[in-house]
Amino acid sequence: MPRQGQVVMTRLLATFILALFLAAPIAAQQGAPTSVPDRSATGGATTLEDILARQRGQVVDNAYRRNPAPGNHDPARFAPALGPLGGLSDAQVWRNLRFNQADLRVSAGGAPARVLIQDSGMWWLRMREGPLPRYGAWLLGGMIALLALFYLIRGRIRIDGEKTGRTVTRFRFWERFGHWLTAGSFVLLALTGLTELFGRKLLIPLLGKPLFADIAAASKWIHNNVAWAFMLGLVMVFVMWVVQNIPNRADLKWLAVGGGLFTRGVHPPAPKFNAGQKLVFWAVIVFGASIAVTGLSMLFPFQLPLVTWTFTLLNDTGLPQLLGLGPLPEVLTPHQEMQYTQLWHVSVAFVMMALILGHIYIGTLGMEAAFDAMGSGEVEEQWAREHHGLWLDEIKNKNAGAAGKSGPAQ
Amino acid sequence: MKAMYAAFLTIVVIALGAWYGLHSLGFSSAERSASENVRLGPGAE
Repeated sequence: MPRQGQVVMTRLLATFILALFLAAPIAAQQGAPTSVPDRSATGGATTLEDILARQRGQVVDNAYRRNPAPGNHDPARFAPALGPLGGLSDAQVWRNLRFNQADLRVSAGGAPARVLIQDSGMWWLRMREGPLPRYGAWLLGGMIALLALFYLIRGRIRIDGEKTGRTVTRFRFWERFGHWLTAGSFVLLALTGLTELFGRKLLIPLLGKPLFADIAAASKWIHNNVAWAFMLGLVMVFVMWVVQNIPNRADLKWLAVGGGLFTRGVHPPAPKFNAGQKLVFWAVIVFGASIAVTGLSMLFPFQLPLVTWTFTLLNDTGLPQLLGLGPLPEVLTPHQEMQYTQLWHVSVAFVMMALILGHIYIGTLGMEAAFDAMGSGEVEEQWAREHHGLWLDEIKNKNAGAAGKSGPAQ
Repeated sequence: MKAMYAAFLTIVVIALGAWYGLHSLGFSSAERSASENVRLGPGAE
């Protein structure tokens, strides 16, 4: 009995100590004081501490200046006289202007010109100069490093069997034209886009301001005008190849062996486009379309607001709330629209650039005889046998059928 | 390689065409971003 009692007491004590340890973090959360800072020195206005805190990048709750001081400056007290300010105190007029709540009319510029001070613009600027280029650079750098590693370990993917010396037509003129229209314009857009994002920081120290100014102006011209060629190319590529890029069960088998990319001598059968190519196709179409649409919005500023519509749609699905982002703002200033559009455009562009680096790699350095498909359009038969066996069979059957038809006749 | 060269040439043609076309239609940056009030011309003082 006493032994049993001891066990029970020990367990109770252990449970109590465990509960104490589990409850300890609560004290940490309640540690930060949420008391209102003392602003008596300035009579309720901004203090030196507020200025210093803002300079340190801390968020200062500006309710003390956004709202009228309690008990004072009540506009209703002036309502009977109304006066030239429409029943508002001086202080309230300036508060409204400072926090973009004033009811303004402007002689030129429309809705965007009615926004005099846009607080959220500073958030956008910090994003555009901080996380956006930083994560983008890491993504591209990481992709290059990954490809270099792949090349060092796997080497160039060679044709395993004996080359036949015969060729098969893989891509006809218009297929190659559509591809190069898209690819050529994409490279120009990527380079000029990167110049626009990183140019000031990286190129001015190297080239000086006058030369960079010319480069930046040319870069913007190229980016804005080549965009149309990219959009046409996207449409061509989609129309020509969508049917052959519809996923099917064979793609799962191809993916299961990694397409043979990681193992020598493994050649899973594939039709005209293997699963890897289908992934690239759909990524180019979806990401490319998204980039094109946001790009159009920026080509015609303030004319094609998409963000309000998108955020409202997302809020209705409940997804942002699920992810802890809370309901996304559904009322945006025209400038916020353009700022979110820019952030999305650049983010998706980085993802697409990273993907295309892999595509360029495998089509040039990464695989022997792959470039011929888009270069001359004629590929070595053994290459086709190993990498697109099902497609080669189709071609052979079609040719045999045609030969049979046009064979001994009359 | 002919298809590639043709495509690159087409990119140049489209870019020039777009720039010229948008200018003619009044979509130049100057046209869109500044109003009549700031234009100097025969009517200006």
